[in-house]
Amino acid sequence: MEALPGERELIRKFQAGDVSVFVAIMNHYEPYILGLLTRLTGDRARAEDLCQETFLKALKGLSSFRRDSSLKTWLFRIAHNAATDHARSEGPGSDSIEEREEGGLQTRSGAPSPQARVEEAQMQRAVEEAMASLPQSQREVLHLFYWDELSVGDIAGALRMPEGSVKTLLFRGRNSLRGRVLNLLPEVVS
Amino acid sequence: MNCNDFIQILDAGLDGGPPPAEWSGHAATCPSCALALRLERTLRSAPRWAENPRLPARSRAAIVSKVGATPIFWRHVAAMAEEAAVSALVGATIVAMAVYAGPSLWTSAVPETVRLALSPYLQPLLRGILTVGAACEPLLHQGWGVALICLTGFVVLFAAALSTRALSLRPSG
Repeated sequence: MEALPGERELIRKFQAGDVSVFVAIMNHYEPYILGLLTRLTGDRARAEDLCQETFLKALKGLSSFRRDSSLKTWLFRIAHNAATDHARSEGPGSDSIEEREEGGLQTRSGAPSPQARVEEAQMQRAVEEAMASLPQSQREVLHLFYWDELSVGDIAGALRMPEGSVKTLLFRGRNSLRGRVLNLLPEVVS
Repeated sequence: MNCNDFIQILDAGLDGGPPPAEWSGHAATCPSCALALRLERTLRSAPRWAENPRLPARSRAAIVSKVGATPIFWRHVAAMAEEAAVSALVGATIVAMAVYAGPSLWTSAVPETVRLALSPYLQPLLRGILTVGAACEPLLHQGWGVALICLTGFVVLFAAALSTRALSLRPSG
């Protein structure tokens, strides 16, 4: 994930009263936050509601943001809490695979040859499908690491957990993902 | 090289330096490790192929309308005041405990040699406390007097905490 240029200055301006800079902050982080929430909820409409809630909370809290963590870590933490609260309010079973929309995520490929493009798209679809069946904690850590390109330290900050736990979730998540992709693409191995 | 070694190197990160030569050789002969390598590459390129989602216009408009309506100055002051009030309450509690238990702790817990060594430095402070204490002593016999002392202490600490917070937010440039 690319850092927002002049982020510190934007925060300073916001805290000095220029609230219009919030739109720039939202424009930059919106795809990452919405991507994570879509992954966590498996439902685009719900993810959009939670994303809106995340930015409204950020708008409310940014005036007292202390800059002891980075803005992206702070925003991902708000989004994570929103998703967790939502899952809690839905009760157990809200995380089931059956509830997920099939083929909800579109992909675009940049592979050179048609054959390679087909194979790549096949792999990407398998990854999306396998990701959707992982436990939420593993799915979230994998998404933050690979899709949002956060470091282990940033993920630990965003999810308020020790770095060791993030590494464990990454390790388990990768292993589960490998197993599931292997099941989804058996012809590749045979 | 076996599959476990291969996966271990893969998990350690492909950008952490070139892998050993036999590593790529193993991928060429082991389909499941080749798949793991393909999977890792697909994951590493996820930001490029993944969808770049955006909020619908109505959701963005809802947020942007709140941006214009945010009374940032008062929100800012309220947040600072809240923090200062918490700091002041904690400070007042510590001071009250120190005043209440300090003298007995000073004589019972601190060795005499240390007390003697520190007394030249603490005498002025003690004199100041006694002077203020003597002035406040009549108030302690009144219910409202005690409340007044507590309120004054809180206001002083609150002002100190608020000033510290406001100074820490001053732009450095």
